Amino acid sequence: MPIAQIHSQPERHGEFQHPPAISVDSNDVFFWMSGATAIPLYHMHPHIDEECVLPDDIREQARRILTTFDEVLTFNGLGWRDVVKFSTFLTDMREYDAVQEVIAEFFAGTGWAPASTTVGINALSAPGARMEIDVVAAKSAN
Amino acid sequence: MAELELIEVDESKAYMLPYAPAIKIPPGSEYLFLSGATELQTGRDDSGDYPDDIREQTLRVLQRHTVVLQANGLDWNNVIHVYEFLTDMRDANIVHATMGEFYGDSTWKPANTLIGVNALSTPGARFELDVIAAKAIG
Amino acid sequence: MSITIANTGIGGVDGVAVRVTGPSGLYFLSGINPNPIYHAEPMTDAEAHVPAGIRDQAQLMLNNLAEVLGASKLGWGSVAKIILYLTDIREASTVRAAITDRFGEDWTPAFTTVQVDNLVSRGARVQLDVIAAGPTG
Repeated sequence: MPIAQIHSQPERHGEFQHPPAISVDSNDVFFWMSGATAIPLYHMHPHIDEECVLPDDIREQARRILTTFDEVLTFNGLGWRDVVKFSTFLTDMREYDAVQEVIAEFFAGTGWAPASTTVGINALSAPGARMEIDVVAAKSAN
Repeated sequence: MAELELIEVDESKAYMLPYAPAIKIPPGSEYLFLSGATELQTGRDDSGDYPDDIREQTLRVLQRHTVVLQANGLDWNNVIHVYEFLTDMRDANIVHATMGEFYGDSTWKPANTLIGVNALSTPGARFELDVIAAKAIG
Repeated sequence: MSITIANTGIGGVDGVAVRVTGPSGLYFLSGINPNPIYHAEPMTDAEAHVPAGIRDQAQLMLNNLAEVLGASKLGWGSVAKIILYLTDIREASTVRAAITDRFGEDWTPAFTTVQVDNLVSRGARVQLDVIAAGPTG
């Protein structure tokens, strides 16, 4: 059974409206991914300043994060169509709309949107990081 | 039999990360969803207060979660994702170092999302760990 | 499949870990909050408006949760875990009581509760991040 969007009011489902829920079958393989800020995927812990220089522009931060997930998805033979849960953490909620535009760019053409949650939080792992995203993906085992 | 799998995109750089870029869980796996530390009354000392020391709090959180994992026939090698919620991001390095010590020689690292929050359920709590564990079945 | 309260191994601390045995489908819900489930992106002013009080917000939020569970053909007993996001941690017990009033005391999912800065809509005070388990297809 394919991974499915669940709509309580299907007639109201717009093009990129994230669905209220996604169901994933027990026969599917799951990929739970670590959260990412706009720092490169591989970086030292504890953090080294030179590796943690973040762009001012929130759209650029979003692009770098989504590019990181693109890399992890691709490495696992997955695409954006396989993302089932998408969590966004922002330090400034006024940047929500700009972030949503960039997310839409990455999902464009897939005809798909994952279950999605967004929360405004205090701080992230590096000074200057204004957003973090984490992702759960799934695909059928066959 | 399929197992939980730690996915590194670049093995040569794996040493940099105390967490996994992704964990792959095979079909038909079982899940254990643990409540956060404060729900489980973790992190407190014997008088019921939270120790000031973040390392102490972290150890107590990990110890409590370990009891729950073990009661269900699991251990930290079954943990697939954690949310680390901190009230002071300056504590992050000590929290990670403490977790690293706790895991010991284990090569397993779950996926991890680290978030600085305003407050946790109980005054004095500085660290909340939200844990999801899984067990591959046949 | 079954979804059960797991053994916590800690005396007197029941109902705070949930075990899902399979084969079971998992349901990932989008963030559940007092705003309408279906809304424009960005929200219209009417959609972004939430009542001032936490009790009223909790009722709207729980209406939304019931709607999504219903569309998924699931009940409250299928909810495996919730991350409860609050803008004021002092309102945790009010929200938990509203949940119990709505869905009863026979079942509790695993909960993690944190206080955050804010949520998408100005004035929103509560949001649930929910994972449920149940048959699919």
